[in-house]
Amino acid sequence: MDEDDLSPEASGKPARLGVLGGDGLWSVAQVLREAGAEVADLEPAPKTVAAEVAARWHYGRASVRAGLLGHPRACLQLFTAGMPKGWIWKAGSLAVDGLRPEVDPEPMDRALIEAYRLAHLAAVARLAGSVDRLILPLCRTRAMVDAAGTVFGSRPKGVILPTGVKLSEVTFTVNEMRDDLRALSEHLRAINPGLVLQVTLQPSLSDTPCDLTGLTDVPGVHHDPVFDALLLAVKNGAKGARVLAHLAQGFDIDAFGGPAAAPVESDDDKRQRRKERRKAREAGRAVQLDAKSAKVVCEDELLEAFRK
Amino acid sequence: MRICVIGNSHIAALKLGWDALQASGQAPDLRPTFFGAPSDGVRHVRVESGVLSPKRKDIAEHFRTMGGTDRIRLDDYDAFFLIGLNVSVKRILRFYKTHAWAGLKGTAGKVLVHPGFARDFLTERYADTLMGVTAGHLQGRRVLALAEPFWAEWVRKGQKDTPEYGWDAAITAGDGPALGAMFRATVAASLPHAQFLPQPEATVAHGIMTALPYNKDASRLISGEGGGTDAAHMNGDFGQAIWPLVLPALRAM
Repeated sequence: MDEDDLSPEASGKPARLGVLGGDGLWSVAQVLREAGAEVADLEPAPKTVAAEVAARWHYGRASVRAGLLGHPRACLQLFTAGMPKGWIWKAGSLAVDGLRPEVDPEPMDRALIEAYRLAHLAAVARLAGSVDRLILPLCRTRAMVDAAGTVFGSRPKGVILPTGVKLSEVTFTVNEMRDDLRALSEHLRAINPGLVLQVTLQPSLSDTPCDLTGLTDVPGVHHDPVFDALLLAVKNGAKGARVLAHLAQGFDIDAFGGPAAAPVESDDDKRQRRKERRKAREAGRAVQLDAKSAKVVCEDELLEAFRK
Repeated sequence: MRICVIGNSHIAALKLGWDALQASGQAPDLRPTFFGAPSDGVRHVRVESGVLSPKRKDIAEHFRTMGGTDRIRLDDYDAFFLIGLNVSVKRILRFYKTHAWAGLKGTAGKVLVHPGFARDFLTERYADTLMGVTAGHLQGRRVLALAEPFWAEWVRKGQKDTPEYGWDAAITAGDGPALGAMFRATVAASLPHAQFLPQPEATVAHGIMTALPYNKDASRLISGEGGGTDAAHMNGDFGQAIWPLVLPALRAM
């Protein structure tokens, strides 16, 4: 085996997978999760969140809550711009993050929004180091941009832009998008040299169809038309979820069929697994004991009050 | 006013408080009948033709012991008072271990969320409790709801054999009052078919705990969820602090 070969086939382990942005009406990350792939979530909702609450607040739609993105400029800006001029929009006395206005259905106290964005940026900063493969769903070429070239989201009703900020719609050329993708790839590789950046070209359900075929052969950026077709098919209810998950995790299609190669387990891993099993057994016993004695205390307390 | 009191083990404090108020001649103009079942026993009831009845024998036995009957005819009562029924501040504290909303102080190492998301998440979770389900059975009637009391403040320091829900971390960070306020707001919002009665301010310590006098002698000195001594249940004084609020709340509905 080539010692420098970091592919899943070589290591036997699935790639740690991330998804960045996507269309407003469907989520690539959710389709991949339902197919069985594990998609990193660096800004997760609590585990017990109801699906409708998660959907309303844009949780679980991608690896970070960065909004729709959907074209290379917005993705690049996410990693490089931080808090550009004019990012705080006004909604009465409250504020909206103009770089991702779609993620929160309500504005926020002006005094809190900076800390809130910094926490989001901290999650974004961890993303490149947390995944081996980052999937970028691309579905649009147009964006609202200010005079400095900063890309903003769509302005919600009733929201006012800061003084001096004027947005106009631009359509990026293929060359601009290729340049942005290259720059993004370089930026991410500087953080994580082994990272595979994969674009998936998907029709937007919420935007005018556009031609993105010029983005399929950018140096340093992976594109797999089979993955794209399969993703769309599975999203629309077709079979193939397991193959899709297999591809998403970086395995080759030729390796699909038999069971995935079992990861080689070191002695340390085995010891750790045994330790975790023991801990889980003990925790289970403690819960059983607690439940039993909690019942006793509740019943005792309850009946005592009525025995008088 | 005939009032049907339905709850889990926390109904005991209300019964003890009622007895004390009656003995001192200070009981409000109410005629309560108590129906309780420990833990989530009230989950095993059905409502048919205006009658709420247990589906399990042990729950029926509890109802008979306390209320004199195992069938609650809803029209026999002018109002209903739901007690405890798994609505507890512990749910917010579990959330607070991994998440915090912007504006709280103890945010380090946690996922920071919009306060509106915290509100929606917790409201939905509280609506899914036994309280929410039972209030749903009583739609269209006058229903007052009291959550499980906050745990006694002595448990904050995490004595041996007491569960650790993160009270001390929250209070030390200065987030107790904000968590308590979120608890009141989200429980109230989660109960569209009932009026939420918050725990009286006089009984509250640090925003999310019950002051020591209301837990005194409630301990059973057995190991349960309340720990080596019982921090989860309150005494008759707690019940006495609640009852004067009931009639005005019902009249305001």
